[in-house]
Amino acid sequence: MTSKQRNLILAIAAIALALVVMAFARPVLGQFWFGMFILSGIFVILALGLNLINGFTGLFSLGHAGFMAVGAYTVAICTLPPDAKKQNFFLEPMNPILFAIQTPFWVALILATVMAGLLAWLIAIPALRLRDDYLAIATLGFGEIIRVVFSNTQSITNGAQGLIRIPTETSVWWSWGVALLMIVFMVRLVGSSFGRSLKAIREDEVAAEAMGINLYRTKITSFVIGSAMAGLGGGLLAGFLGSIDPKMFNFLYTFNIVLIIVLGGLGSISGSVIAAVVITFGMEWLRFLDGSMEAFGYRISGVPGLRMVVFSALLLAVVLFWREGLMGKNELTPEYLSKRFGRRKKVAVASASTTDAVAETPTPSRSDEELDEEANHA
Amino acid sequence: MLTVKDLNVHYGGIHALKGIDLNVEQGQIVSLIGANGAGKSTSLNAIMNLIKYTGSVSYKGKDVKSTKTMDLVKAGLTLAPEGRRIFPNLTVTENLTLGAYARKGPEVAKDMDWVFELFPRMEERRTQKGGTLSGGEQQMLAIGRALMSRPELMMLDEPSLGLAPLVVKDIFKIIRTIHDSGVTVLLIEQNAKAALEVADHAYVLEVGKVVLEGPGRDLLKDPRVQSAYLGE
Repeated sequence: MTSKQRNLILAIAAIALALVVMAFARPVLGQFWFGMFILSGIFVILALGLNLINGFTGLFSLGHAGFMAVGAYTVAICTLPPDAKKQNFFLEPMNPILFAIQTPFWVALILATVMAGLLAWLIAIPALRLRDDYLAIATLGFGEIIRVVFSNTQSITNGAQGLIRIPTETSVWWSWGVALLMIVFMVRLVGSSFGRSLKAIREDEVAAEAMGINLYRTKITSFVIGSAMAGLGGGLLAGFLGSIDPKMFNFLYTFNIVLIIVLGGLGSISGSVIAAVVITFGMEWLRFLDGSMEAFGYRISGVPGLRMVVFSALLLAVVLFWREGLMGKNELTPEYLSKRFGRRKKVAVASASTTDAVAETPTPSRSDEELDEEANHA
Repeated sequence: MLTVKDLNVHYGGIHALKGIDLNVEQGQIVSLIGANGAGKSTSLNAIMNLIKYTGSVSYKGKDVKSTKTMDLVKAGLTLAPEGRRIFPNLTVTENLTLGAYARKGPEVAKDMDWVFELFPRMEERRTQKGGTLSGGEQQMLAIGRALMSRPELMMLDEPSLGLAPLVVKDIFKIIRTIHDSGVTVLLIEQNAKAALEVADHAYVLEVGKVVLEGPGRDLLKDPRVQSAYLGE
């Protein structure tokens, strides 16, 4: 059996396992955590989109929340039933053309993807002439512009009031089904000639151009695909929450996704998936930190926002000690696992919990001292 | 094959190239030597249409200024850039495959075999990341990657940079082998001796101007070259 055949069998097995998990998640997890499970699927899609832009192409984009908003509003407008539309738009009547639009959920999702992609394309044309920090600032600005525009287009988005009564169609099959589809799509994309050209741009733009890669066009394509995925995720989110408003798509949302891809490893699909699930569940699980606690007989009154402090500390620790994130640029393949754990079995058992895993191949620039430190942490 | 006439490049207020003329005939090895900051790399970047310039550069009769870099690569012009600039987080195989980015087809695999034949070390390390190779190996990878585009004219920017003398010897041997297989070579070097020895024709560049040119062997004997670049 060649490694290609084996990987195909493993991939099919993994998908089958995922389907089984999806089928039995509700009774096992209970209603609340089942909701988090659905949400984590959405975050997988969002993280993969941003990782394509930031991790694989090396474009520092911070406009993800804006594209999510586009997707979310597209789905909301397309799926809201007429009476709900009337109820929502009480300050100013809805634009009659938009009022007439009524599509099934899956059509709305496709439209959400397309709309976000289109807008990303329009933004990319000027923005992608910039690089690094400047690009980050520009995309951050565009993301905020989208949010501000949505707060003020009363007849289209109902402004700051937001929209309620969006049909909650996002089931576990939708969120994780689309997530699985996106994982397969990303694996295929990254392994293709186009994917290699993205990585080449990330590694060295001048060399990539000398190879004959059209820098500008390739960057735009990557940005559009990644942002379209944000629109898709945003659309699923609208269908999950049932109500949206412009304020929720602020920079903090982008920050959460940046957190996921940095923790998971910039340039790793499996890292994004693992981190998306861990963070979504972790954020909820750590909610007890915000409430009051009893410790050693003392009662500590609740500190709202304490879990964000914990998460920030976590991010800091990752940046300091595991600069490459959970997976680095590696994927969770049998080759990786045997390379990572086969060599030092004893250590592997001790650090079986995924969050303790350290980055794989150390880059040559790291000193031995740093490596020792890593070993100690493992 | 390649004709450069009155090439001028400005970096902001700095006049980096002050009207240089070059000519590369098919089947030649042409060397361009000069000190740091003489404008050697700038010339190659202009020829690849990677930077803005004035003057005329024509490759196989095509005006370079109006041709995109990717189309130049397709037309058989390639650059192994200064400082190697391999893709450090990609494997050796991925690096080589990217070299063939501008063309597709079944011949890519055949060319990869050829590169592995030239550099057996690369085949041993095919799954290793580029950044983990030694300096000499990285240079071999950079040359191999450039070869993957099936160049007719290959431009090498300081292939001996930072390499041990023995490795430099290997690299020059390989340059000859590549040349013997029918590739025209335009070579930039600070290692004037090695570069002049292999060159059919050579140019000496000083602060943005060609100050001397002629067959490599003649330049080796030129007293000005000897005192300035060969330390004799």
